[in-house]
Amino acid sequence: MLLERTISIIMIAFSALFLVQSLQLENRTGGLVGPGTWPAALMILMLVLSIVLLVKTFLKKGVQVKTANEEAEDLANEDDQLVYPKRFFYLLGALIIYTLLLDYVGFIVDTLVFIFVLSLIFGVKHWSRGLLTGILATAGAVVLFPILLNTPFPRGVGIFSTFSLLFY
Amino acid sequence: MIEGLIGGFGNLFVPFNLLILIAGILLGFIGGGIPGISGTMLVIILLPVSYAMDPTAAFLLLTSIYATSVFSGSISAILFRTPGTPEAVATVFDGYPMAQKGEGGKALGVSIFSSATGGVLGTIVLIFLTPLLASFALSFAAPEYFALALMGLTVVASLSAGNLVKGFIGVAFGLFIATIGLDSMTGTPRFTFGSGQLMSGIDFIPVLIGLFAISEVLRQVQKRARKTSNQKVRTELPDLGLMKRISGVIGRSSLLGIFIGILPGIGATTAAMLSYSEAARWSKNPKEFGTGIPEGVAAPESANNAAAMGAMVPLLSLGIPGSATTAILLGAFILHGIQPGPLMFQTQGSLVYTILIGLLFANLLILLIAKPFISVFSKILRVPYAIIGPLIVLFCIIGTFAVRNSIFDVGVMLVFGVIGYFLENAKFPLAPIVLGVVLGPIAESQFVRSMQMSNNDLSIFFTRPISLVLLLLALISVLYPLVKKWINHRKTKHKGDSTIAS
Repeated sequence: MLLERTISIIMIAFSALFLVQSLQLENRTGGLVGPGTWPAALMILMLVLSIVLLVKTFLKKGVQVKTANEEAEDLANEDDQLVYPKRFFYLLGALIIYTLLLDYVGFIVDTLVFIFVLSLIFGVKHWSRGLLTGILATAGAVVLFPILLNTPFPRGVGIFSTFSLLFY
Repeated sequence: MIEGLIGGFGNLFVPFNLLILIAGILLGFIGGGIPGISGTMLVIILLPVSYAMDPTAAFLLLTSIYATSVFSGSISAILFRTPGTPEAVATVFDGYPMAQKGEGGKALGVSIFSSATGGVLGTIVLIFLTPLLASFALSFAAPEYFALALMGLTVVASLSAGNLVKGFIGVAFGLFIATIGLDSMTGTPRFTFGSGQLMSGIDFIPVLIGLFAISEVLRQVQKRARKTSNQKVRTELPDLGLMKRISGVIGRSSLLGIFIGILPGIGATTAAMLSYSEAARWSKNPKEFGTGIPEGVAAPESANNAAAMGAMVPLLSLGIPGSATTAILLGAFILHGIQPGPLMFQTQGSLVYTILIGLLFANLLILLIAKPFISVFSKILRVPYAIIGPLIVLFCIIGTFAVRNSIFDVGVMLVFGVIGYFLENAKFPLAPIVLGVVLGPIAESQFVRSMQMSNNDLSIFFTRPISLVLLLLALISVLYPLVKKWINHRKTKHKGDSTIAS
């Protein structure tokens, strides 16, 4: 419920901001419909509905009728609790660092380390298995994409770029 | 059409294409079978591999994965009480009790047989209905296309969510994302904040991968590692007597499944749930459902495969996807430079017929390949998520990067992964957002074009009969849940009154 409230407040801010932005778009076509009309209409809809959602979170009583889909989901999620909430932040952090480094370190080194770290975050039994996964996955990806399919993967800068030239 | 089908047959039996089809079927089996990887996710993961293939091979791969992952979710649903895909949730109700009674092999056999039958029936309807609908849609102009897109969006918003407000917020958000970048009509940059990357718009592949795959991995990482058990089962395909017993259920459920599949917004998961409850209602002994009877496995399994095929009808004939997975397939078509829709039968006839024949074979091959697959399946399940998870993330990153060779897109994927994670926690449905992003450009450009046709007169949407009907259907789909809620409310109130009176 708290999450729903937070999300609806973020959405109100989001749609209000972009409503103003779309109204500022200049209509040079002279017609009724300019480039800002469509997004403005969407943001009005989103703004109104987010306010409704926010109000609803305050009014809602405890009783909730569950739809068939939700019941099915509950069944699927049974004995499937989220027991390691911290891992969410580790994984997200690793993903962000990986993406930021990709252009500087190049695909090979970045991915190898990343997959190894990821397998540790996921709780691999022994670190050697994670390292093996990292090496094999990187090797497989390099053979498949830059070598066979000619995808231009990031090479990195300086020594990393030279290193990548050994492979692709 | 007959020549088209024969041509498709010929294309399919090119050795490379046949190999790809079988690879797709096996991948679909593996992905569907492992809990935590759904068919949707697998199709997303394999998008990058398909970029480089020629369209025929690419779509045989993606569609056969889509078709068979729906079946294989039932394997772990029956044996371990963990549905491998959301579509197999209803299979647990009778499948697991059967396995507990020692009839696991029989339950798997029933599941194979009903999935294949449901899938084949669904494909046959798909083959005959799609060209009909497409030729009807050839007369559509801009107002009809706008109305069609609007109808698709409203139906998805109101049906998939179970919550109108959240559904429509999702649609509006998705449509808005699609407006970022240069306006296709006037060339005005919108919401780019001076960034060159945003100028070319937000591609929907990173959005899809983020919402469906990254958000799921962010959830799985927090879960306890699943236990794998060593269960030996011998799959027994149903004998003639059992086939006769469940044939009625399979027939009815398949038809129901196809119908539900064709409707936009509700897909194979709902079809399976609904057909299970309908089968129980039609049965002479409804109390036996849930205790482990073959009918309880046959009903959802035939319905979900049939529905998956039915969902392809609006995609191939109108270019309007009705579910998340078909929206991704639409994206794959666009990546290959093909615009699905009524014209596709003329411009890409051989590709469409090859896909249709490929789906028919994929469903038939379930009968042949499933049995040997299940016997090696327990070994595949032993690969821990600590290995699979990082590989999924790697595939997501490569898939996103390879579309435009852009690291910025990888960032977009991460942002939408986090958005998807929190929205799903707050029980926001993700399908409306995806459909909004995919249909956004179509909806807006057709709207603007209609306004140009009519000199800015909105009545153009209401004076043309087809577009009027479509808009009315959209209105009904919004009003129906509201009216139903109100009636239910009145009913309970009425009951309350009468109990007080008595």
